[in-house]
Amino acid sequence: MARVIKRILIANRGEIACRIERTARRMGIETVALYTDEEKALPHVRGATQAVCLGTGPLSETYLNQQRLIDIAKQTKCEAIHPGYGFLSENASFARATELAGLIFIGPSPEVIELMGDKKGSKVKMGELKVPLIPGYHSDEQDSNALEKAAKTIGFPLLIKASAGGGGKGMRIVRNASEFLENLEGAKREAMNAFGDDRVLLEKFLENPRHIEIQVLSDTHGHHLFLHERECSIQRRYQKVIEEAPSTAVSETLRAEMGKTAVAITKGLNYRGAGTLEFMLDEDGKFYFLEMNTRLQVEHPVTEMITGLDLVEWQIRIARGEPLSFTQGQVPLHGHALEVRLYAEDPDNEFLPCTGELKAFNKPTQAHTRLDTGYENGQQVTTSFDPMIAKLITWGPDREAARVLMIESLKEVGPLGLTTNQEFLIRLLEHPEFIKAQTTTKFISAHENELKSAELTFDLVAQALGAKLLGLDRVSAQAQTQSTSGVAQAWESLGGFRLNGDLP
Amino acid sequence: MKKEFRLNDELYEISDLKRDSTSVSFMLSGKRYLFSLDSQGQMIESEEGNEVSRVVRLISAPDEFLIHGRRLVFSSVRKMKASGGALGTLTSPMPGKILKVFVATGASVKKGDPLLVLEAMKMEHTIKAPFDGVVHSTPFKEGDQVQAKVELMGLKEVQDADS
Repeated sequence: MARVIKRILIANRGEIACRIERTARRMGIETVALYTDEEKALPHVRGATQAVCLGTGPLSETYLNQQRLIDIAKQTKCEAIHPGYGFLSENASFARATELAGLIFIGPSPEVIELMGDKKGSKVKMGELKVPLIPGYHSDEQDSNALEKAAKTIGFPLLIKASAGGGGKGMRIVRNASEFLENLEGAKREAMNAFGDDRVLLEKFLENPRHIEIQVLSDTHGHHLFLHERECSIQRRYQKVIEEAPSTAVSETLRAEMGKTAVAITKGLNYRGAGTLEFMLDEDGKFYFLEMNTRLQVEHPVTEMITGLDLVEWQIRIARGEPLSFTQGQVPLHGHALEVRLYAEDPDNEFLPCTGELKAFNKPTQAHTRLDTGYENGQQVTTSFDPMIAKLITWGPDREAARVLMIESLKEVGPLGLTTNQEFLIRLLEHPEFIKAQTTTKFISAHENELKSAELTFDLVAQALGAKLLGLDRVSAQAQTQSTSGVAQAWESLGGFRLNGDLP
Repeated sequence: MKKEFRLNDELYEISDLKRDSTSVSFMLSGKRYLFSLDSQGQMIESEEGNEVSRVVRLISAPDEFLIHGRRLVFSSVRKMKASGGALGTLTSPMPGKILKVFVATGASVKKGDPLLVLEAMKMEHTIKAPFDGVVHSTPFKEGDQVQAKVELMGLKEVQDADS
């Protein structure tokens, strides 16, 4: 059942396309990249063996046009399609169409993608596999007594939610049994007013959960392994910002237990390829299944850093029909890795996406650092695609070493030229509670005020002005010399200077 | 003689500026600062009456620096930074829908006041006043669709009356 893969179409763009090209080159596999008119100059185009232009237009006509991508794969004589993440990576119909066209879809079977993409169906399946789900009550029996009885079974604190709900309306947190009925009435009233439907559901409320996910790899010979956990608790608006591996909240015993659960799931699904099982970890050490991502994750590099494994390589080898060449006991767990997502966004203005030209965008120079990006210095970040500029990954023998290295590397990488979350990332990494690994999914909202940018100190203002007056913003780092003209020009360029008292 | 400059949208004032081809010195907030270039073109900070001097590590682009992890952007004293800033300023960052308009034409607003809420990329974004000013036009009403890079509201900056 060995299958030959000599050329892969990458149905994606940006950093993940670059990432896949890198491994493919090392494996002697050719790649076909895609790009739109405005992306001609981006690194993922040049990093491939050949590239096909998708022209211009909405995503539905470019990166999401399934038939077009399959036609391109056929025309360019690819044997396989790698979907990356996002776009069509978890689209069962695309996976199915790819296989029907006689091509290899680098990922699990369409049936598994379909099942795990269905919120309700996947939970039912998880229940069958005895995977822990967040305890709750989802019944049409809405009698107060029945609900109260269910509440006592679930335990407190718990959440009352409007079944028809959304937007926090009809939602109540109840901390003890004596307050339940009163809150139930309130929630039902709110739900009736907001949705014309007073049915509610109950769910155990996790006070300070952590987001823990298990990386899995499954081959087509019945081998199912887990590659330890990642913690991705630092999120804003359900968007991950900092990821790390391993998690400080996961003991060896808990790791074994979560890993066992993960493998039970992949076995139960007859899974194939790389995947991730996301869990919520409660303060009491209990964990609950959230969802499965049937693809490569954005944050996969932290797993690669602690295991030394190349996940894209294994995705391709599994797709070729190769068996995993190592056992569970041979999966390394070495040191600690961190990843930050550098976004073109303004943390001081509700994380609104920003655009602009990347300037002074440098590669980190220290050992044990990695920069995954789809941009180069001088290129434009536009609103056409995701605002993520890059992922910066650092590794250290322990978490603190990786953390310090990350802060130093962020100061080196920049970029300048547009507003980014770079300073916000440094503030997160320097927060005392982050240093102590007190990371929960509520971290950013709980520490909102401490995470705001501080006023500039006069010493820093003076340094900036000194550098400006010395002309250091007008010369490249390599060419920085004590040229007098540089200083003179700097002085001219500060045309905005004016005599005091010259206010209009 | 005193000079003003604008850094990260704030005005600062220095005095007693002295400079030659490789060094510069000035007073800021009651303290004297002294910077010079070494033979590698790195900036050295020194203090008067103190033998110790140190390299200030920085990366730079025209009119901006990254020092100690902070981005420091110079702009003209007379006008606000216009490019490379948050798209929130007063143009729509991307196509979207106006969910709320908080102010009417003629209203005076303070920097940071919410002006309107734009829904884009399935998220709600509150557009806030980038400076103190007076609203002189409100081209959109709640429920309107807007294209990218369209002016969402006309806002005229007013200088502090007490300065």
